[in-house]
Amino acid sequence: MPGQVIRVKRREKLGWLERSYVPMLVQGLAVTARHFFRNLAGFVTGRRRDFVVQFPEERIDHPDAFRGMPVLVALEDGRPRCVACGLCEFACPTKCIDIVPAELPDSPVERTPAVFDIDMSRCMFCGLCEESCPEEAIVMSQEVEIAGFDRSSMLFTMEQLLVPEAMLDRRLRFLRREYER
Amino acid sequence: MAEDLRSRTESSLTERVPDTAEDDLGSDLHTAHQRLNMGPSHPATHGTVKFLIELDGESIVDLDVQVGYLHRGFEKECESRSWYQAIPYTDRLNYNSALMANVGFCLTVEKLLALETPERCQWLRVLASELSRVGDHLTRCGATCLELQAMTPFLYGIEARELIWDLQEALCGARVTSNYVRIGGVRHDLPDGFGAVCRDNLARIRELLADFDSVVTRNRIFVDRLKGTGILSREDCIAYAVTGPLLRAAGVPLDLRKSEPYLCYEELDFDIPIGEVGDNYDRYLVCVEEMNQSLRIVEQCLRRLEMMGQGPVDSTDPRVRWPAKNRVFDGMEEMIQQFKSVTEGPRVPAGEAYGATESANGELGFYLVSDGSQKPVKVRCRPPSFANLQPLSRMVKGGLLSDLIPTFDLVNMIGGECDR
Repeated sequence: MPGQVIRVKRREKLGWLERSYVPMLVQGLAVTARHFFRNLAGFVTGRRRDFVVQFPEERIDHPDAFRGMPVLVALEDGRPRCVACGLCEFACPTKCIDIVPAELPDSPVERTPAVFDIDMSRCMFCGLCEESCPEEAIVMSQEVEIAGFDRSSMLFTMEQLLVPEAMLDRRLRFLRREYER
Repeated sequence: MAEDLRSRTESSLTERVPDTAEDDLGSDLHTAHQRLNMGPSHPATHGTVKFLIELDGESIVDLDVQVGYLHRGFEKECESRSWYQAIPYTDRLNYNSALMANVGFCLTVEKLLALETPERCQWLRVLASELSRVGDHLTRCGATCLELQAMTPFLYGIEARELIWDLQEALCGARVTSNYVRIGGVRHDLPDGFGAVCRDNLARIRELLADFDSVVTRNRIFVDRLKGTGILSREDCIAYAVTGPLLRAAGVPLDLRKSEPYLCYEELDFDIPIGEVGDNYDRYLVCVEEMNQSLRIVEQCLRRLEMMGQGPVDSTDPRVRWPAKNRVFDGMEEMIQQFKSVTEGPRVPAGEAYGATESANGELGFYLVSDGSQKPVKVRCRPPSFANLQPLSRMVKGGLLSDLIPTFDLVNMIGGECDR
């Protein structure tokens, strides 16, 4: 096993000049000025290196793996792809998903959720529902702006959760790439 | 103790005003110790903790640390869920370096299962752990500067941490609550183009660390506040079971990554920094050097992962492996297995195991007991912050009240981890 124990160098002995605070004052000004001008140049040239996001005019583009709020995939006819099997309900550590199944006549899948509620005030965005779903029906979106004024507004019903499949294309493509690995 | 101090105060006063009886103010002066409650929510203690301080003027006579304000029953929560459902909760232990708690918990479960993980998974776990170690130390050093009224180095530290969290987001899907490690594997492999972005960010982090160093390390104000304050001797460290940078700052070269290598730390080249006296200045220097070493490890991991080429990141053991998703969609057998995996979770053989990892604060241990069912019988977490916080009163006793601030910051007590 290479590597060794090294003793850190204590650089605590200060000369009389350093004890007068002046060199550090100058150095501190130099460092902060360098940062200031570099950030300013970034603003002017449009190649910014600072992290400030001018929300809501600007929004962060999250990476593919990002887990936002869980949503339901809606098929082309607006119906959820979910077959109300209840696996996500099982997998959810906080038990924030509530499903009531119903029958779906004249369809090969036969089942559909009558109620699909997610209590977003309890959801911890862990993504286990997505991982457990055998139908690719619940996925983590990029959506994170879900603030509300009271607790009841944090209970998301199926209508609020349904998102057309085309809008979730990025996430679905990411997931499918993961399956193949 | 109190009388001692009173007589000391009196004698120092009589020294200043000697002899003549009418000038001897000290004998009439009524001095008493003051009790001060600091916290539980105090701007200088970024962690919900309360100190009951007995003060003699400005110096600390006695200090009592009262923890538990962030207790939320982590252990019980894990015991009422199946094994894999406990992983998101370990994110919430030390929220500065969630990944290391993920790794620690899963390693212990794997110990119970006697499970081998693929090589690529191990390197990914080390990469993720070391990234979050840098993030944790950056927060610790940055916050120390902030509380010593140096806003600029704090912002540089946070800027560097932002770069780490960007990498973590690309890797795990979340900036703080990673939920990345799985029993027998990890959630994702490296995303495309991760290596280039990571190297770019590491170079910028090094730049920021250099700026941080140039503003602070030889600054007289900083040195005066840290030098010789909060000293904890080597013997005391061992007696109080202190681990991590605090122990190494006192000169004990104990690092679990070296002494009991887990994952692939044995193959990595890194040094262990130690200090001399064990004061706050040593702690700061040890943390800075550990960041440099961790950055070295990250680079080695990246090189290794790129050399290795694509490969499995999950164990193939049917006890813990969930079936491949694309087969679940149209295979009946896999579908049934998926239902069983999710609803029952892995059945861990009866027994007990203790797994310790070197987290950013020190030894993070998990003691797990299983009776062979779907849920753990006992999940006990040995948080490094809790042990490290114990000798705080010993560190600050006799010192000034203002020395408590940098001492507490460099102990880096994380409420979520300490109180569980």
